[in-house]
Amino acid sequence: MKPSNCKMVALIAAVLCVMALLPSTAAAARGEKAAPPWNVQVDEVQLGDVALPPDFRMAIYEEIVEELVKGKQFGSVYRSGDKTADGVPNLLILKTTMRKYSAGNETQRAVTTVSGATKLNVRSQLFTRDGKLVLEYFIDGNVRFMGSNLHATHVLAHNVAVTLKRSTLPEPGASGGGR
Amino acid sequence: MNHNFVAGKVRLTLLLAALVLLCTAVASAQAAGESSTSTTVTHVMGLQGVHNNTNGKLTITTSGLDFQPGSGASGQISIASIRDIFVGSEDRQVGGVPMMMGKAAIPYSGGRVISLFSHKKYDSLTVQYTDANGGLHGAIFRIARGEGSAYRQELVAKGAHASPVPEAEKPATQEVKNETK
Repeated sequence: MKPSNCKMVALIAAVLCVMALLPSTAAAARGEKAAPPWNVQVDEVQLGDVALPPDFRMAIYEEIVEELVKGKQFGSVYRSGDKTADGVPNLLILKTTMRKYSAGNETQRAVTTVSGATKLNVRSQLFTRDGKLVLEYFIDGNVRFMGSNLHATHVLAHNVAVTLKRSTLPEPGASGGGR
Repeated sequence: MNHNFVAGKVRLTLLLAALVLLCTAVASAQAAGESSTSTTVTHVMGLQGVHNNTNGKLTITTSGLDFQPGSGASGQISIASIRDIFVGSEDRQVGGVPMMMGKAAIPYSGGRVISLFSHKKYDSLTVQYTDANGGLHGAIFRIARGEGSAYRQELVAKGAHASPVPEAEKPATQEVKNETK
C-alpha cells in the first residue's frame, strides 16, 4: 500500500470515529434535558384578602398543574397534599397568592369591546422544601376581548409556566437562588 | 253476545294499560332509588381522566358523583373524597365560535346588538376532592341555572363534606320580600 493511500485510510477512519462520537454526545445532551433536576409541588391558591370565586380558585390551580406538566420543565409535577411527593428529592414548592381580581363580563366585552375585562394578578413563589425562597414573580392573566371569564385562569397559568421556564433555577445542591 | 265480546276486549286493554303503567312506575321508582339528580352538564375541567369541555350526564349515585360523557372515558368522585362543594353562577355568550364569526360578519357592528341577547346564565358546580394519594383536585361543571344547589344539597345529604354557604350567597328570605312591598 502506498503511503498516500495509508494517509487517506487513516483520515477516513478518523472522520468516521468523529462522526460516530457526535450522536452519542448529542444523546447525552438530550438525556440531560429529558431528566430535569427539579420536581415541583403545586400548592393550593391562597386568596389573601381578595374575594375570588371558588371556581376561579380551583381553575387557576388546575390550569397551573396542567401547564407545568405540559411544559416539561420539571421532572414530576405533584399536586397539593400528594403523599408520594414526601420522599422525592429536589422538590420545589410553588405557592400562588392572589393579589388582584377584577370580575369581568363576557357580554359587556362582546358589546363594547373596551370594557368588561377579567383581570387576575398573582404572586408566584418557588420555595425549597426547607422554606428557602428560590424565585418570586408577579404575573397577570387577563381576558380583554374574546373568551369566557374563566379563560383568564388559563392565560394566567400559561404565563406562570412560561415565566418559570424562562427563569434560571439554581442547581439542586446549591442553596438559595436568584430572585 | 257481541256486546260481551267488545266489553271483554275493553277490559283486557284497560288491564294491559294498567300493567304498563305499573311497570313504568316501578322502574322509575327504582331509578330514583339509584340516583335522584341527573342532568346533562359540561365538564369544564378537573375531573381525572376526562377531557376538558366535554358534555355528559352527571349523576349522583350512592357512592358519589358519576360523570358519563357522550364518548370517551367516564369519571367518578367518591363521597368520602369530597373536601368541599361550591355553587356559583356565570353568564356566557352562546353559540361558540360559529356564532362569534357570524356576529363579526354582520356589517355596521350589528353583531354587538345580537350579543346583547345571545347570552345565557349557568350555574357552576365546583367539587374539591382528593385522589388516592391525597392530591388535591378541583372539578368544575357547568350546569343549568338553579340546579347547582340541588346537586350540592343532595351530595351533602349523602355525607359529602361541604363548608357552610356564607350568608351573602343565600337566597333572600321572606322578611326581605315583605319589606319591599
